[in-house]
Parts: sequence; C-alpha cells; structure tokens
Amino acid sequence: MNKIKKLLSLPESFCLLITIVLFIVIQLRSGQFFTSNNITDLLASYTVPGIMAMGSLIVFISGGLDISFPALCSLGGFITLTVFKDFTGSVIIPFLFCSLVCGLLGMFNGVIIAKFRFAPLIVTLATEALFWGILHGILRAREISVLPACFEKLQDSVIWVATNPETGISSQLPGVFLIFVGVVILSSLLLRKTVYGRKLFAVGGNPSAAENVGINVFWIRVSAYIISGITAGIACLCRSMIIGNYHPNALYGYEYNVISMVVLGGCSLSGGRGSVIGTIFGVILIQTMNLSLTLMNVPTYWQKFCTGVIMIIGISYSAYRTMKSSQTLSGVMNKTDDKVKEVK
Amino acid sequence: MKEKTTFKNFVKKNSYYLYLIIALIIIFIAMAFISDSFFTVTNFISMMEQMSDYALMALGIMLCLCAGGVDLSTVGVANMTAAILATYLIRFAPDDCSTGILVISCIVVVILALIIGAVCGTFNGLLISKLGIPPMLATMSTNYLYTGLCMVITKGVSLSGINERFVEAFTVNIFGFLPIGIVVLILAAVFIWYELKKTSFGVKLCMVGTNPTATYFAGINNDWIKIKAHMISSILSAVAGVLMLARLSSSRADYGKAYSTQAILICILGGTAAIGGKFSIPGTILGVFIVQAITTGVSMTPGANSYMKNLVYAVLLLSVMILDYYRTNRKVKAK
Repeated sequence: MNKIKKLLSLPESFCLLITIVLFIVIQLRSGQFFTSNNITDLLASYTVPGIMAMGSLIVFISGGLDISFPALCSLGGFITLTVFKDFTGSVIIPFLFCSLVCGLLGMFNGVIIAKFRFAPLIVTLATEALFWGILHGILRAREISVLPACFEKLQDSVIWVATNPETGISSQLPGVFLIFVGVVILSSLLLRKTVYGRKLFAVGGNPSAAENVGINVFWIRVSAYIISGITAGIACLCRSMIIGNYHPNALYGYEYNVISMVVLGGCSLSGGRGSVIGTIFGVILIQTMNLSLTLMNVPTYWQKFCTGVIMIIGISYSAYRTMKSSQTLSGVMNKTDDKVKEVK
Repeated sequence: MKEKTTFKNFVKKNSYYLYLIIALIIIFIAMAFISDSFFTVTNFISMMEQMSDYALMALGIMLCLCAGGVDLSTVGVANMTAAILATYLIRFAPDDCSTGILVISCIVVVILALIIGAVCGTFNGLLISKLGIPPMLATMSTNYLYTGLCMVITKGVSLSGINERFVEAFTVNIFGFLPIGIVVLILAAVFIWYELKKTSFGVKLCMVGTNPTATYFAGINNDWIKIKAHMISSILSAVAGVLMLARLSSSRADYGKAYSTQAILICILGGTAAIGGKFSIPGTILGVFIVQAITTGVSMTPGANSYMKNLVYAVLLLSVMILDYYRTNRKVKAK
C-alpha cells in the first residue's frame, strides 16, 4: 500500500493518469481510438517531438533552458540536405554531419550561457532569432521537396502496416520510429547508468556544490546544450523523412510544444529533476490530444485551448504538491532556492 | 574644471544610454546611405504607428522581468482582447449604427480591454505567486490558453468587418503627425515612471526581483507585488490589442506572433536585468526606437528579406550583453 502511495505521488504518475483518462474519453466518444490504425499513426507521430523532448529534458536537468532548437535544427537540417544533395552513400553519414553541425550550433548556445552566466531564456531567444535570420536571410532557405537519394532506403522502410478491415485504409509505422526508440534508450542509459548523468543531475540540483565536488560545471552545461542540438538535428532529419520534404518554417513555434511535454512529464524548470519515462508520458499526452480532437468531432481550432488547459492543470497540480509538502515559511524559502538556481 | 567633472560623471552614470544612442545614430546614418526615403515624415509616422504595439508590451514585460519573472503571454492577451472586442463591435456597432452608439461602444471597448487585461494579469499573477509556478512556465501555458480562446472566438480565421468609423477613430493622427498609439505609449510610460519612481512600488518591485526571501521577512507582500506587475503588463498588452485591432481592422490568432520575442529583446537591450531587480524606462524606449529603426531599415534595404532583421537584432543583443558583461566586470574588479 505504501509503495502504491509513493508511486502515485510521483509527478509522472499524474501525467500517466491524465493520459489514460484522455484515452478512455476519446475511445468513448469516437470508438476508434483503440484501433490498430490509430495506434500506428499515433506512434509514428511521437517520433519527432519525442526525440526533441529527450534533448530538452537533458538541458532542463542541467538547470538550463533551450528554446532555440527548432531554429537550430531547421538550420542544421537545411545545411545537411543541401550538402548531401547528390550523395548516394550510407545514410549514416548525413546523420553524422547533421549531428556535427547542430552540435556546434548547440555549443555556441552553451558557451555563451555557461561562460557569461546569462539567463538561458534570453540567450536562446537571441540565438533563435540569429538562426532564423541566418536560415532565411543569408541562406535564403526554400522548401526541399526531393530528399537526397541516400535517405530513400530508410524512408521507405516500414516496421509494420496496419490495415483497417472495414475501410481498407492502411497506416504504416516508418522505420524512423526505431531512431526514436534508440534515442530514448540511449538517453535513459545516459541519465541513469553513467557518471556523466549523475553529474548532470548534480549540476542542475546545486551548481556550487557540484563545483566544490570537482565537477567541471562549465563543460557539463555546454555538453547539455550540445546534446540538445544533436537530438534536435536528428529529429529534423526524421521529420523530413516522415513527411517526405523539408520546409524551413515547419518547426516554427515548436519549442513551446516540446517544453510543455517535458514539463508535464514532471521535469523541474529549475534543474536537477526529471525522468525519461515521465517525458515520454508528456509527449504521449500532448501529441495524442492534438491529433485526437478530430476523432472526437471537435474542431481543430480548440487544439491550442485544450493544450493550454491541460498544461495549466498539470503544472498547477505539481506546483500545489510541492507547496503542500513544505510549510508556508519554508515554501517561501523553497521558491527562493528555485529562483537562485534559475539565476545561476 | 568643475563643469568638466560633472559632465564626466554624467557620462559615466549614463554610459549605457550613450551606447544605445550611439547605436541608434549609427543605424540612422547607415539608413540615410542605403535609402533616400528613410528620412521622410511619412516614414517616421509609419514607424511610430508600428512601434506602439510592442512598445506597450515591452513596458509590461520590463515590470515582470524586474520582479524576477517574465511575461510570455502578452501577445496572447492582446489577440484575445482584439478577438473579443471585434466580436462585440461586429455584433453591437455595425457599419450603419448611429454616432451615439459608436461613441458608447468606443468607451465600452476601452473599458472592456482594461477589464480583460486586469483579469488575465491577475490570473497570471495568481498562478505565479500563490502556486509558485515558475513565471516562464505559467505565462507560457496561459499564452496557450489565451491564444486558444482567441482561436475559438475567431474560429481560426480572421474576423473582419469592423465598423470603419471605429477604425478611423482609433487610427487618427493627432495634430496630423502623432499617431494615437504614440500618445497612449507616452501616457503609459509616464504612468509607469510615476508608479516606479514616485511610489514605493518601484523599490519593492526591484527588491522582490533581487531577493524575495529578504522582502518576505521585511514584511512586504511579495504575492501582491508580483500580481500587480503582471496585472499592469496584461493591461498594457490588452491596450496594445485595441491598437492592433484598429490598425489592422481585423482580428486573428496569429497576429504579432514575433512581438513577444521582440519585446523581451527590447527590454534586455534597454538595460533591464534578465534576472530581476533592475529596470530602465528610458532604456526600454530607446530599445523600441532601435528595433523599429532596424525593422524599417531592413525592409527598405534592397535585396534583404524581412528575416534579416532577426539577424541584426540577435547580433546587436548578444554584443550589447557581452559588452555590458565586460564593462560591469571591470567595474567590480576595479573596486
């Protein structure tokens, strides 16, 4: 009993609970939620936000914040797709190149934030404007409707095809989904099983203590932004493969979507707290809701409003829990602690 | 001799503003070379018309940044206000209504905007102060909520067909050259200057932004200060919403999408500390001028597309922040 209580008190379980309720509501209203078609489509749709959310999660845990990644990966993706236009070799090489470019751009973010101790929100806002400016202003990015030939094999690979026996409509789970699974496994191993992961948590939880223990806080912070850049770059390539083309503005405004997923999954904005499994629940919750409104006969213009309501409920609930667990006075202190961490 | 020292002191004290003014002058000179039509009265009037929207938002965001938070919901509040008011105007003041009804609805519009702003701001403030949600998250999610409401009201398309005379009344140029937005902006700036410099609110705001624990033990009502800052911010955004509605004579959920980024950049450029505790009204106003000059300048430069302005903002902001970092660090070391 105690164990169940403890399990229920985790922020992740609240997210899971809302998700399950949402699934049931959708199933009751439409009767088409638990069909193989729908599940396959939903799984495919988790790929891009899921990969991005992993990078965001790592930055959040290190006590930072990155909102420049949609701009960053659009830029990296465009450069990659232009460089490898006529490339016919292995698909891994463009991926490595994209990771390198996006990693360098992420390092730019990280170095500015970690060296000057500026507020991450402001710096990434500025670099976001910078990246969009470079992408549209200098490179004059246009839509790329034909992807390089080297992507073809991965693009056409299918894990399984689900066909609706009544309508005959089939939906397929693209092979790119495996990349998502890989990224998830890698990041959970990184966070839970490596020294580097423990260092990330330490830096996010209390930077000055981490410094005293002998952790190189500067490089841990920079590396978190590098990882965020790399995952975003991979996500951008995956997106172009799923959709079949690249559009420079396709990911505009996506950062808040991803941040809301990560935060709903129980990750703390002030650093040092967060889990891969919670983030996945967050991705599932927001993405399912966005895609299932049409199933429930709700006009799509309700989508943003519903996201907002779920976000406010979810965040308020976890804030209320922290509030309740500490007394009034220490509650104020807690808030201050959080603030001090944010400043640093 | 004495005069020289005071001048030196003045320069030292206001060196940051001098940097900004120098930047502004450089941009103006560059524009004069690039385009002939930059230094014309029409251009300056259109610049003033465009800048009032996000200048109001920037003033509001300045208060929230000073309290140690940030307000990302400004554009949401502005668009939601515009959508509600547009619905009201289309319903109650159609094109053929009498002048009396028009005057009354103009007054109602202004009052409604103030009420909507106050309610939204209070909601933001309550989430932040009473529940302790980090300001960025709270305002980000309320931005979803307000933008979502705007989408629901406008059904995802643009609401047009607003009374022409209302549009005229709110876009009139006073004395032929002062757009009404600028008058509102000046009034708002004076009001904020009075609140921050002439009442205890300004000092309390900076203190809450710097060290909330200290203010808590000093008996200052932290929650109320934060709520008030967010309330003023949202009211200013709602007023910006009225101006946007009149200028564009329609309402849509994605108008002014980039304004919130722009407004935050302006605040930081103007010398407001991103971590709270410091604000600057003249700096913010100078920042607005710089950003508007860049925007207009880029749109006039042949061969540059409108995205180039983002690049210029970003480079300017990062270089100002880094220069300021080295300047203050030198000061600390010298002490």
